Amino acid sequence: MKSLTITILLMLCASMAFTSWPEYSTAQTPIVLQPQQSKPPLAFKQISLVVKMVNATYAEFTLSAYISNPSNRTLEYVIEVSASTGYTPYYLFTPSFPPAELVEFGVEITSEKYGKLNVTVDRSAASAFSSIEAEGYDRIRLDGWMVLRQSRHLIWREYVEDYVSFSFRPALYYEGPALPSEKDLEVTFSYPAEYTRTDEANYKVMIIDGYKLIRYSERFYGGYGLSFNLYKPRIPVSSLIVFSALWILLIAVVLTIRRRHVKD
Amino acid sequence: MKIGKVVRDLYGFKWFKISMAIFLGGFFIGYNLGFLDFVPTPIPFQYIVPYLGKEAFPAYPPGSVPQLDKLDYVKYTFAEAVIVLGGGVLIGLVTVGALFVLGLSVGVSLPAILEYAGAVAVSQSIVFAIFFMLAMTFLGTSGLSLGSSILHLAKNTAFSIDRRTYDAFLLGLAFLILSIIVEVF
Repeated sequence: MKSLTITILLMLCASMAFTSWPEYSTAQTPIVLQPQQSKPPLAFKQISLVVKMVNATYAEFTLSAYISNPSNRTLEYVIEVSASTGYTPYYLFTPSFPPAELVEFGVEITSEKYGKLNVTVDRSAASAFSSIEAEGYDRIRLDGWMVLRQSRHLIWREYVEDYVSFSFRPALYYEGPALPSEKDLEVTFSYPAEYTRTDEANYKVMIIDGYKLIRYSERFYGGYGLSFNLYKPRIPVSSLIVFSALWILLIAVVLTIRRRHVKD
Repeated sequence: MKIGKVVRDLYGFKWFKISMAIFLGGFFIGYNLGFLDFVPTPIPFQYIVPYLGKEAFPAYPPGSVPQLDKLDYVKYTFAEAVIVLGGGVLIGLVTVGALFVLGLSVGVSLPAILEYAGAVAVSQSIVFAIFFMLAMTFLGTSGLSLGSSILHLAKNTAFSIDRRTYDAFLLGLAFLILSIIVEVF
């Protein structure tokens, strides 16, 4: 019992328990919180997003937003659209994987005040700079398309798991909190009727001209991402034949062995 | 060496039956899991036999198939053969595990190949899978027989290796070379 007590005491000494003892502890640096901004740098109204997945390989989207600058100085901001890039898995004992493919997409951004904005396309993102004068506003329309890729071909399902996101942010606020105001975003998403969206059961689905159409509201915090997450069922004929053959063989073997046992 | 007699002898060899049963058991489970879309992603079973994994590439996300050349196929196949055969020294336990996992890997890859690969790739894959299965089964037979001999030695009985162990090794080597030829050409 005595040795156990000594062991526990030694373990406590070796542990971090005593470092919190006042005389042993070091002075903690106080964490200074950034003061919250009184007004959000960007405010939004009438945000709507229309996405149409034309087929398994092509989708079109339109985002329109009324954007205002409630502050008393001119605000430069960035509009950004980014699409999903493939991921590269990592496994032990496997050779290296090739880099993910480049995303094919195009975007055109139009400002009511400045006309067509100059869009810079990066590897998987397109961005444009614009500005709003003090207490001013602008109406932005963003039209684009993207090539979809069938990310996974399962045996019973074909998946489309691409992703597109939109964001409006002040150009100079790369650090610290710079959340623009929150607003409802009205999303209209349509896709071929043979596909099923994984969370489709949560929405009212209308079928128009061979396309499923769903409408819903999301919160818009100066940015929004839309995940396609669709799948289409398929019948695997070739592998079904082998599957059936394997099971028939197994049953035949079991029956033969059983018959032998009965004879014995 | 009369091949017919050797094969007949091996067919009656206990370790050949066990080796074949383990590989086919793994294959059966793997094929069923693959067919039912239950491929466990944390373990890359489809890449353990990379030749088949490569043929099944249309089923995987873009960029998720390893960069492989023909030398990699040969290296992997040879390494697997060495593990199956050499695993016998650990009283056959490693051989048993390797045979099961290899059977599982071949089985997991096949449904995707049958569904998405072209006719030529499908036929090549099936030929390769048969050669590979025979190679691993024969090498597994010698591995398990070797493991049995080592276990006998551990029990203080005389160390003796059955003649059929050598036959299985030679046949396994022949099929291994054939499967490597299919991979390379």
